[in-house]
Amino acid sequence: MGRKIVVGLAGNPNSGKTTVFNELTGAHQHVGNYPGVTVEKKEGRLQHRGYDFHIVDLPGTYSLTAYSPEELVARSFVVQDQPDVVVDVVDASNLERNLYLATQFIELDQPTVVALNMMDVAENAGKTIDDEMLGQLFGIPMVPTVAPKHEGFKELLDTIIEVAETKRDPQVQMNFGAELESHIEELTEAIDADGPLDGLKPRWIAIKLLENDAEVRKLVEKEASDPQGLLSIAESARVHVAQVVGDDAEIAITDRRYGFVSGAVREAMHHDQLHRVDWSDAVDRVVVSRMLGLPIFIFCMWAMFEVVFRLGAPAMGWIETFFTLLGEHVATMLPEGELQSLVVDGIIAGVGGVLIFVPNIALLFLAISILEDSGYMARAAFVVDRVMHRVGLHGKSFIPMLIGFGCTVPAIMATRTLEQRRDRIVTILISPLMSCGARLPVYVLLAGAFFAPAVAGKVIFSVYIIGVALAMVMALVFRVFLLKGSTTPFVMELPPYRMPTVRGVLIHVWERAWLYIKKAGTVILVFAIALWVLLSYPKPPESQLAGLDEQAAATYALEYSAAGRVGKAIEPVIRPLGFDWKIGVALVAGFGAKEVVVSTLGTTYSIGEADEESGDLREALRRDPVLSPLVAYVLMLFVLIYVPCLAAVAVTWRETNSWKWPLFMVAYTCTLAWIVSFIVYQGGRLLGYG
Amino acid sequence: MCVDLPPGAGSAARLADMGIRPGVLMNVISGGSTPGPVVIRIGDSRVMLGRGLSHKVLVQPA
Repeated sequence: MGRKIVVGLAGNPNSGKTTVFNELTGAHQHVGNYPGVTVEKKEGRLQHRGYDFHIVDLPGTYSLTAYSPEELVARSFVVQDQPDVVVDVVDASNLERNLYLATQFIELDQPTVVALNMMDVAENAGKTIDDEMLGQLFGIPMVPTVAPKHEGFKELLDTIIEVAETKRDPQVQMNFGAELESHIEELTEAIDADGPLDGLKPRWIAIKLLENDAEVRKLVEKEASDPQGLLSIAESARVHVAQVVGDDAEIAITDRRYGFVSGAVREAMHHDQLHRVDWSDAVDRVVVSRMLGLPIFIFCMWAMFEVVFRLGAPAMGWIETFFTLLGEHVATMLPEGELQSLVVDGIIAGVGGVLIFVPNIALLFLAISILEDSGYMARAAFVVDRVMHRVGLHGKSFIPMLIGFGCTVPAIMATRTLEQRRDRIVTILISPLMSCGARLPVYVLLAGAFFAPAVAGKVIFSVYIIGVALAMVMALVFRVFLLKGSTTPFVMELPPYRMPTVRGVLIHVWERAWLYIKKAGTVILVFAIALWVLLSYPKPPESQLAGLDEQAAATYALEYSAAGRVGKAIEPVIRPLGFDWKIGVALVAGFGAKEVVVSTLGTTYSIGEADEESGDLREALRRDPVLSPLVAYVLMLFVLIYVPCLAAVAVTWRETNSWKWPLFMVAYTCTLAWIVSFIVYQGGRLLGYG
Repeated sequence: MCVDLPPGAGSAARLADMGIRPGVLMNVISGGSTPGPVVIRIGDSRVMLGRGLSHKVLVQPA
């Protein structure tokens, strides 16, 4: 184990930074959170030539100003943690915009290496880049790479070692032009005289104050000896610049940086214009157009769901068989009695019911990953934004909503891409209405029992659609009454179309699917056990069961149990919806996890282990006088709307950093579920469906 | 061509960071004639601007 090198990996979004990170660290990654902020922190390790590399994947940013939490995190890391080297991953086919970030490292005197990524794309576009000359002009070594093919990585690592060992900071200094420079010098001297500020370079502080950087201002106010003096110099400088140059100081500064980059790029890059192939724009014109955009999008979504459910079905069957066999096997190993019941009926049935959905979930995330990595998702967000804007949602909300069809937990986490807290909260609040994978067995069971096979599929589809419609309505309601304010200005970069890498996609899928499996192993497991306990105890004394046949005895025992009593207690509330206490028990069970609703229904209707395919359970449901097609449909709607599972509520609490929102979510979903169910049930009865 | 960015500190500076600054040549790929988001091309990048922003950026044909 040789010397340790801490590397900060920076770069624009869509520069291929994540691919570089994956290629460098492989499976040796760890994802966590920066304390106090919900920006993800990804770290990885690798060994090369006896050195131990600690690589921190910083959030993708266009610059290091304080406009968003991501940029702040990236900047704080560089400024405070002071990595040995920063690797700036640059999309070589889009040099100017990408190299803008590099100028920030120059200003910070941070030892940097630029990875000129996507060199293959640049070459295909007819661009020849002289990386040596570019490196000299920037004072930073530039290493060409093609991340998906693992090209250039050895040189990259070697260069990192060299820069780390020599502690070589950028050999060039930004010059902002006479006017700005004189103000910067004046301010720098004042700051220098004021005394050390957090170990930061005075010139950097000066530039940031001129740019009106909020964080640096706060720092000066807190720690400088004469904050007012410094700030007033900065202020008058800003006013002067605005007068003389004609632009706000920060725009002027940005302009100069771009000027520097443009000049360098013009020297070091040769663009063979004849090679320009703009098929991407042509495709975009179609994909995003008013006429075709939405239909194309709907088609893609439909295709995706078809794949997920058709391909997923056989795999689901295997897993189901596995768990059934496991249950039977364990039953023979354990003596009859409580323990056997707990393990087989409680744990295996409960957890198995969740894991059955892993193929579906994985396929859904696979499809989403491919769409994201290929670049289509950004265009889809554009198409969808037109519609979502009407209900006050942001186009970017659509990706979390899509993920919500698999599982609400990763969907809520995916809302991190929304910059405005308002948008995030609204999206989080409506995410449970995107019917998640766990609710599906309930629909399959009920639709299968009460509707003809030809109709059942459409019935289930209608439930999904109602979910989406309600989400739109609730978004509007929340926007108008609760979380007022204009929608964030929508700026989003459209990445160039590209082939997703197998590795990238698989890592993506794994991350999200693993969350789902983890949920099964933890929350669901606990809940399955708790539920089993509540349904089995207290047991009625033998004397009271004498003389009853098996069915009646089981029902009596159920009523006697803790869960049964809760069901009875809420019966008056749910009776107007056509439900009785047995359904009530299942619904209460569903508070913890939707997956257990079906197995609970199985228990309350006195069947042993039951799943949605179980013929016995369907029969039992049909025979029950309380249930009818109408009640079944109302029940499906209720399950669609009421309360997300405990895991989702927990994640909401974590992501919103407050008790208020998760509690509100529980309250509004239950209320809405009741109202909608009431309307549909009573309306249905009035119309004669009974 | 982009002529002016209005004050509105946050947005203007953010756009500038992404390359939308006064004097820069841009190409409208989609939208623009109708209210709604606009896709533009700046140099080698493609950026999508929401309706609020696209109205604020003043342009002049080059």
